Amino acid sequence: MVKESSKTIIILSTLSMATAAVALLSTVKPMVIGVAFPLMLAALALMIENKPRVNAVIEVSPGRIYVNEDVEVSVRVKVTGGYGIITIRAPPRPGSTEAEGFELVDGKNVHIVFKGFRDVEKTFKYRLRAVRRGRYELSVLDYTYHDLLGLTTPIEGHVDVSASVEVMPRVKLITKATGIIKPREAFPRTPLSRLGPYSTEFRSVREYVLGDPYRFINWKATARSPNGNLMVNEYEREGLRTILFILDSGRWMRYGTWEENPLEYGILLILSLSRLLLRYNYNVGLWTTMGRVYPSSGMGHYYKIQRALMGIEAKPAAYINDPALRVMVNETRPLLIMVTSVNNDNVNWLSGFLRSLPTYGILLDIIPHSIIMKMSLPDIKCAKALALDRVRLYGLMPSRFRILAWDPVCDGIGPITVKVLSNIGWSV
Amino acid sequence: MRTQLSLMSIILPLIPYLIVFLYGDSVARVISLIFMGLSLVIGVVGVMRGNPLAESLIAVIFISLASVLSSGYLVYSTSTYILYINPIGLTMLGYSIGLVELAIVASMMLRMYNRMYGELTGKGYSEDEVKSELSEFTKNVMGMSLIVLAISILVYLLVSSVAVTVIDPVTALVIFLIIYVVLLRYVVRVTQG
Repeated sequence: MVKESSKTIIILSTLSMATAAVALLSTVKPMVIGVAFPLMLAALALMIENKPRVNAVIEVSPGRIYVNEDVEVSVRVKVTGGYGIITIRAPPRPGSTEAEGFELVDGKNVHIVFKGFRDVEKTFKYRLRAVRRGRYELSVLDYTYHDLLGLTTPIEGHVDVSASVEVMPRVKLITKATGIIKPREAFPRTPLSRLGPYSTEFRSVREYVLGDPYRFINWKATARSPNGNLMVNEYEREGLRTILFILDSGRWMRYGTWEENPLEYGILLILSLSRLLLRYNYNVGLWTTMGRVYPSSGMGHYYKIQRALMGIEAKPAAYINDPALRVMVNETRPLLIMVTSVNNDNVNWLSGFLRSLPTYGILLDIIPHSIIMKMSLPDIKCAKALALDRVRLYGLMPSRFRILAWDPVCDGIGPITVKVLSNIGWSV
Repeated sequence: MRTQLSLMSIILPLIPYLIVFLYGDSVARVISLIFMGLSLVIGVVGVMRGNPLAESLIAVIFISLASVLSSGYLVYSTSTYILYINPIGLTMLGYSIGLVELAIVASMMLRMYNRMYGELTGKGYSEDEVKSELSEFTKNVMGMSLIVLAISILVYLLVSSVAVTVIDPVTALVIFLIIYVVLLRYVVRVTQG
């Protein structure tokens, strides 16, 4: 079978040969023109270099935006060599994470360039709107080269470019929208959990855990220990109340759409609460399977939490099993806020995990039913009735944890923030 | 540029028929008129369907038949004219094949233009940009083809001004065939590589 790409050259050379035969038979001299023309054209096409060199530089401005904000992308392409048509597809590449995280709002990221005998340099601009938080790398520019007269099959290639964009979640600031909310005490210095330098106030003797200062080892208690375990003295810490968020990132956190799912809502809620708590001088920490932020205070700490939450993605088997978490909980006894979505798949792990943490807290269950329902039945806004079966699952959780269920489609971020705050001792 | 290419593809192949009509006998005139009508219909339909190559190929066949049947070895050996075209007409008919071949290039460019336009606009490329770049490309190729045609005419004029007596027609055809085979082998190597 004759390839489509070589048809042109075959037509030209066959035409030349047929004309030569006719010229010979008819002895019409000017027919030589009909012999020479297609041959020369084919020869010219074959002589032209058919491998273009494409260079590209990409710039994005600004490099850090919030969800639903636009970023301007500027791509400068230089083509040398070759003669023909080049189609260019600037990032994001279809099917990539970047393509799911952005939508094209102005201009095009696909272009066509004619490359003649001279070098071509063109700049394309387009705007992308971020639809989901995350760290994105605009990294590959694809091109396809169609040569003069289609002598060879189109050459496909790509150029590595690099520009990163940080898309931060847009946090709803809870201040007075749902009434005046503030801690019951202006400076919460007395509650149970603290993080700061050790005071001299003795609390208890317990088993040694990794990270305990050696100076706290109680040798007498160790000697008396029936199993020979190393024992340490535990002292009260100075400082402020500590709240530790634990964000589940198992596959159940991805139920829903790319932009709307328990993980995304969980991130928004953690950021919203962190901001508020940090403003009131709390120590706030974050634990996930993909990173941790040790509890600290101050608004600068908010950005650390934000950065840590930026790159989190739901994974098939993302179970938190970090010994450092237990050490930290043991030491500081923080108030835990476990952000998850309870279901049959994770209930056993969740129950065991929470039981292993010797502290009190809140289990925030983000219910994805309405989000999923909204995908197929957009008219039905809230499907709270579907969440009734969860009572059985909640019964398996340790009683030290209060359970707050949240359906983000039914209730906004404001009401759930208020609920959480009232459960940690704020006046609402 | 699509309009220009379409016009070139339709009008240029009609020139040989006009030449035969003007310089041929009554039989040749009738035949040229029939071919012209047929060719025009095929050309218009071809343009509407996006591929008017057939009209140009029919014109090449017509030129070949008209030339072979009105001069050369066949007429010499049978001592009969099947078609009569006077010598000026025959010379002009010979020149016209260059224009018909130019129409073939225009047809191929039109086919490429239509194919790429449909494919790229369907994939979300800007219509204006596709039109502009494809037009630039086709303009460039047609310009280059015109230059090549002009060079071919110059080559012919140069060749015809020098009398070559040492090569007989059959040897010339063999040499040409060898060049043709070498060229084809090169094309196959390029397209496969």
